[in-house]
Order: sequence, then structure tokens, then C-alpha cells
Amino acid sequence: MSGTSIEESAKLPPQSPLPESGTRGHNRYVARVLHTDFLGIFAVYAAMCILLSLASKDFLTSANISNLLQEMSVVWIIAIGQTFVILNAEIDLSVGSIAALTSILAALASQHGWPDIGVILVAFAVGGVFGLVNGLLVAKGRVSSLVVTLGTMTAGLGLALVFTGGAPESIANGFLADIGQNGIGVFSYQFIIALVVSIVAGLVLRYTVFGRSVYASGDNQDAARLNGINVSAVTVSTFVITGFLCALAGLLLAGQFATADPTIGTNLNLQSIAAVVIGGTSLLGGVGGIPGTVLGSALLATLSNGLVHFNVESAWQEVVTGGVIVAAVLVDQLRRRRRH
Amino acid sequence: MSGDGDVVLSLRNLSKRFGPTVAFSDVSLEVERGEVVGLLGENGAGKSTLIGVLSGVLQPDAGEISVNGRRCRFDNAHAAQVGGIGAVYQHLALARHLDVAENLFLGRTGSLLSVVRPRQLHARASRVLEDLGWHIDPYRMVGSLPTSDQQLVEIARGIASNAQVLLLDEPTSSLNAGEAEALVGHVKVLAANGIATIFVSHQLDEVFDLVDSFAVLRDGRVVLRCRKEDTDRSAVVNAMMGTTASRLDVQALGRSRGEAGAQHAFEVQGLTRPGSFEDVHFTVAPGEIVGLTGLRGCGAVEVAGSIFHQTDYSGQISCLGHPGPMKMSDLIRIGIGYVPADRREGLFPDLSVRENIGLAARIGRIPPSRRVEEVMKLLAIRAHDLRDPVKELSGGNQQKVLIGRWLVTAVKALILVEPTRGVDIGVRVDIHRLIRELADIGVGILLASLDTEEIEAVADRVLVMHNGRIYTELEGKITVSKVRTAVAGVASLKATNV
Repeated sequence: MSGTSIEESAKLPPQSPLPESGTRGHNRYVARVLHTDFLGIFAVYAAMCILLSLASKDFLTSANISNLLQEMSVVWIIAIGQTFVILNAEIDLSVGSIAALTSILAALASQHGWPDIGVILVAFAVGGVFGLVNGLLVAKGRVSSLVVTLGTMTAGLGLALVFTGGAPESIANGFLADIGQNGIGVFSYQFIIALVVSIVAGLVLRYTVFGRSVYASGDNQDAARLNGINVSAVTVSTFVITGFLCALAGLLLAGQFATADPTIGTNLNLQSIAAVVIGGTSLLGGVGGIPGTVLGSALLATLSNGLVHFNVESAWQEVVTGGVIVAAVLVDQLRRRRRH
Repeated sequence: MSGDGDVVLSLRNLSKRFGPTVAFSDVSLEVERGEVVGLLGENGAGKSTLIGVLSGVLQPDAGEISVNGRRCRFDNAHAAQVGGIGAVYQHLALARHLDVAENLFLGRTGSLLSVVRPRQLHARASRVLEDLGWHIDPYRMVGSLPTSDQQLVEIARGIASNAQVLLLDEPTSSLNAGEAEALVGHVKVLAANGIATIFVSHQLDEVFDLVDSFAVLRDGRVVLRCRKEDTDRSAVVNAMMGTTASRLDVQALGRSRGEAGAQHAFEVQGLTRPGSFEDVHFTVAPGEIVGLTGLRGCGAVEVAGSIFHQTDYSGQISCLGHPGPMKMSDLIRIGIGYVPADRREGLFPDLSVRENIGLAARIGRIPPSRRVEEVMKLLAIRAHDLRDPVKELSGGNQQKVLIGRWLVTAVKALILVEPTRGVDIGVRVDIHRLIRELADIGVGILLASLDTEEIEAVADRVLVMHNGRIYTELEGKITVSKVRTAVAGVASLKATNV
């Protein structure tokens, strides 16, 4: 009835090869990064920065910019890990607890006079073990990541309180304090570390089989499995990466404040997820990436920085931040509905 | 095409069971290079499990698989691909948000630690697609392609893995007639290139012209294996159905003729939903089966759906004399039933068979327990246990559950949308018989189906739609050729006007 018959289509001359396929590929990639969603968020962010610099003389000063870049870095680093997890269609609620616990263990190790390398290794070991437990329970135990990480979040916070007896621990480590508090010019070491982590993560997601497998198994886990992708290994890896990045964030926090506070991580869970979602990564997995997360982290940090300039009370800041997060998820939903 | 005696795939005494249930046992089969085998069988005959074992998703309990004379063990899907077996799954196994090139080589670009070169990947993908003569842009996001092109991507993936044997598991279930025809052509081209194909289907007509030979499974055993020259349609159908074709007897439900009292089962006037259908008029009398058909996108499915989902329309709908708009729960209470095209729309996959059948009855406040059992027996629904979740049934049995739901209630008027899509021939015959018997006891039936053979099999009267309008009405003896001529005529008429 309808449709062309095969004899017809088989006889057609083969499509002309694509001599310019290289440049075309790059343009397409650029186009995909700068797709309308990304541009939309970018426009919102740019408008926000312009408004803030018009409204407050203090916003566009190098001191404030430097401050802002430092403030965003910890959430940003954790959000990079969270991006791997969310792209794989899972979620990690334990990031704040892991960061808090690692900073406390680093503090205790430094109080016992451990060398720098020992302190750092302890932190990464703890972060890695938490990530491994999360990943194995999700991938092999087939427990929902929401439940698993809710459990490890609570357990991690509990351990942090056990080790400290509830009070903040001071840190006696010059190296961590240097990394956490100093920098090169306006750029704090924290910011530089976050930037390097982002670039590496972006390249890994784009140019390695592991990275593409994160997208594939987040998009359609059955398809990934049927095509021979080791979905369990991918899932475990995303959680372990996140665990390591939480440890890195915990060390930076410990150095920055020279104390390790067991409750420091409570806001990091929601903020890291918010940065990822605001950046356009779908909570259903398979769509999004690092550039969006960088933008999302910047937007969140700029928002709270701006609210400080307008002397908004910290309680109200949380209300505004919460509203922005819900709005971002709502926009994501509406976009998806329009697409279908 | 074949016949040089070059065996590429050989199965010997393969068996697979799940707990106490034997999926298939002692299956032996040889496939030659370039041979197209039609693997046929009813739901539950073991086809899907056999495909699962061949593609490495499942492991056999006994027996062996050889490719090119070498014995193989497929521990997972990847191993089967490496071993030369490409599988195209019934439910598209694609990552919708990745592009065509990445999907073509999904899981085949090396270990997790290796590096991907997007330019090379896309160049390789366009070479594969060019060789096949398929005009699909490797940069397109798979989710943005039409379903038929997605199916082609799946098939291209099977071929890109240098498959020597291609498994096509009901590949046409998501394609329209033209696309299915094109797919059949592609399989012929592949066969000419020496690639063997196992084409799983329940539609004998679809595969009869295409295949070189048949393998028919029934109750987990190969009951027929022969070349096409040595058999005919009826022999294959008999092999598929065996002698156990179930008899349906609606009278056994204790219902009698003329129970429906209203003048019309359905009466529709000036029904319009902008963009979907426009100014649709028809009536369905009690005991009458009215077919609503046309080409894909003609609006038949949407019209039928709107009579049960009475929202977002203008015009008049009246069901059993009750004017709309009415809520669905009220429609069910007055005796309207609806079987959606998409099983997922009507079934609760995790609830038991019993609950799924009894559901509508509960809305109508009729105690379900005894009738559920009767309906299950009547429809010969094969389930190990009525308490099993309905998702564990085969597609055909799920479809029976969906229809059986309305036999439990005192349904007086029924809307059916594509009731036999994706079910095998035995179930199809059962369902068609059931539809006619329901009409015999006075149920008015509106059947929206684009399947002209189905329309021929059951409809008393046919309305042919195009672009959301009813163009022709066919009465008297309904035949496939009459319906097809009308559909084609309307389409060409419209094409010349525009």
C-alpha cells in the first residue's frame, strides 16, 4: 500500500560519503552542548549577574568574585560526582555525610600527627569505601539508590557524631589549610581543583567507553545490558567516583575552616543535586553533562552570594534556594512533556 | 539463495526450564548460510526463550550450540555477538538519547577504560548504513527517528557486529505495512549476502513469501521443520495450533440474547477534536459489529478512544442512551467496556491475573470471584497460578485478560482498539470468535482496527476513515479486497485533492 518497496530503495545509489564529516561532527557536538536548554539556563544566569552588578556596587569587585569562586567550589566538586550518578539514572543522597565524615577522620588523623599523605589517604579510603558500598548495594543488591544512600547518609552522619562526640574537631595540618584557604590571584586553589576535576570528568564522559556507557545505561539499562555493557561495573564506578570526590570536598572544607564539623554536610546533598538538575541533566538519566553542572553550581552560588548583598536573612535564603530548585525541576518536566 | 549445504548454526538437544516449567526441550535445528528460517509458534510455545538462549541472555540447561561447526557457550549477550549471532529484540533495545552511531556500536567499542573517537565512530556508522543503502543520519538522536528507522538501526547493529546469523524477534510488531514490506526486502538482500536469518513471527502470512524454510515450535518442541517447497499454509497452521484449539462459549457465562435494552449501543454526532478527527457520525446497534478502519493516522483509533475518554471533544456522544460527557467509572457502571490498543494502558503488570480480570467488575460492584474463574476457563488463559502477576503471562494471554475483564461485568457495549495486535494466530482466532459471540448475545461492538483481515473476519459494517473524517461506509459481505480498495481509494482521492 504505502511505503517504498525494498527493490526500489536497494537500487538507489549509496548515499554520498561525508567528506566533511569531521568538521560536521564537531559542529554537531558544539550544537548539542549549546542546545536550547543550556542556552536558556545560561541566559538566566547572565541576566542574574547583570542585575546583581547593577544593583550592588560590591558584586563585581575582585574580592567578591574571588569569594564567589571559592564558595561554589565544594558544591561544584560534589556535583561533578553527582552528575555521573544521575546520568546513570541513580541518585546519591549520602554525599554530604561522606564529605563530613572524611573531613572529621582527616582532622583526627592530623591531631595524631599523621603526615599529610596519610591524612589524605585516609580521607580517600573512607570516601571510596562509602562509594563502593553504595554502588554494590545498588548494582548487585538491586536496592533503589534512593533507599541505599538515604541509609548511608544517616549512617555516615551517625559515625561522624560518634567520632567527634558531636563537637567540631580542630585540624592541625598546614598543607590542608594552605590548599583550603589560599590560591593564585583571584583564583583559590579550591576553584582550580574544581576546574581541573570538571575538565577531566567532561573528557571522561565524552571520550571514554566508560563515559558513553554511563549515558547508555542511564538511558536504557536493558539495552545497555543486552549489548554487553557491564552495567554493574558502570554503576559501582559512578558511586566510587562520587565517593572520592566527596572525600576531596571534605578535605577542602576541613582545610578552609581549620575545623571539621559533623553537620557541615547537611546542605551539600540537596545543593549538589540541585546544581546538576539546574544544569539540565535529567533525573531520569541519559541526558545532560558536565558543562550544565558547572553552570548550575555557579548559578546556585551566585544566587546565595547575591542574597547576602541584599542582606537577606539566611533563613530566607534557604527558602529562595529551595524555590529555585523546585522551579528548575518543574522546567525540566515541562520541557520533557513538550518533547513527547 | 542457499542449498550449498553450508551449515552456519547448529543446535543439538537444547533444553531450558524455569523451575518446574519446561520452556523447551530437546530442540535440534540446523540453519544454512543465507537461509531464512521462519520460527513460528503460539504464545508460550518457547520461541522467545529459544531466542533468549541463542542471543546469550539465557543459558541452556542442556544441549549445545555450534556456529560454523565450533561449539560455543554464550554466557551473556556480548559473548553471543562476538560468536556471530546478532539479535534484534522485539522491544527495541536502544538508548533513545544517544545518536545512531553510538547505538550501532553500543557495547562494542572496547573495555570500559578505552577511548572513544567520535569522528571514527561516525565514519564507521555511515559506512555501515551506506552499505545497507539505508538513509539514516548517524548523528541523529535515536529517539527522534520514526519507529521504523529505529528498527532499522537495531538491524544494522546486528549486521555491524559481523553477525552470521541474525535473530529477528517479531521485528514487524512496531512497523506499518509499508515498513514491514521494506524490512522483508532487506532480509532478502542479507540472505543473498550469505547471512542466515531466523525470523520469529506469529503471522504466517508475513513470513510465508519470505522464508526458505519453517521451524514450528509447540509446547517447547520442534513439531515441524521443513523447506517451504515441501509444505503448505494449512500444514504449518496445524503444526502451530495442534489439535487443542480452544472452544469459546459465551453462553456458558449464563448470558442470554437481548440483554442490552437500549436502542443504540453507541451514537455519535458531529464528533470533532481539532487535529485528530472532524465531524464524525455513526451509530452502533446492539448486536452489531462496526469496524472503523483506514490507513495509519486516519483517526480511527482516536475516535474509538474518545468515546471512552470523553474529554476534549465537541459534538455528541451517547452510550446506551446516556448522553456524554460521562466519567469512565460511570461508563463502566452502565455497561460500557473498553480494550485499549496498548496493553500497558489497561493492565496492572504487578497485580495478579485474578485482580486484573476482576477490576472492572469491582467498579461495577459485582462480586468477581466465581466469574473470574469462569472467564479464565472460557478464554483458556494459560497461567500457572491466578495469583501470579499478570506481567509474567505471554502477550497473547495478557490480551485475553484485558478482554476477559469485560466478560465478568455485564458489558452491553464494547469498544475494541486493535485487539489482536501482537498476538499469535491461535489467540487471534479465539478473540475473533469471542467478538462475534458477544455480538450474538446483543453486545454492540465498535472495532477500531487498521488490520483489514481482522475487519473482514468480524465486522458487519465498515466505516473507512481518512484524515480524521469518515469517507465511505461498506455494507454487505465485507472482504479484504473491498476494504483495501476503499482505503486505497480514499487515500489517493485525498492525495490528488491536496
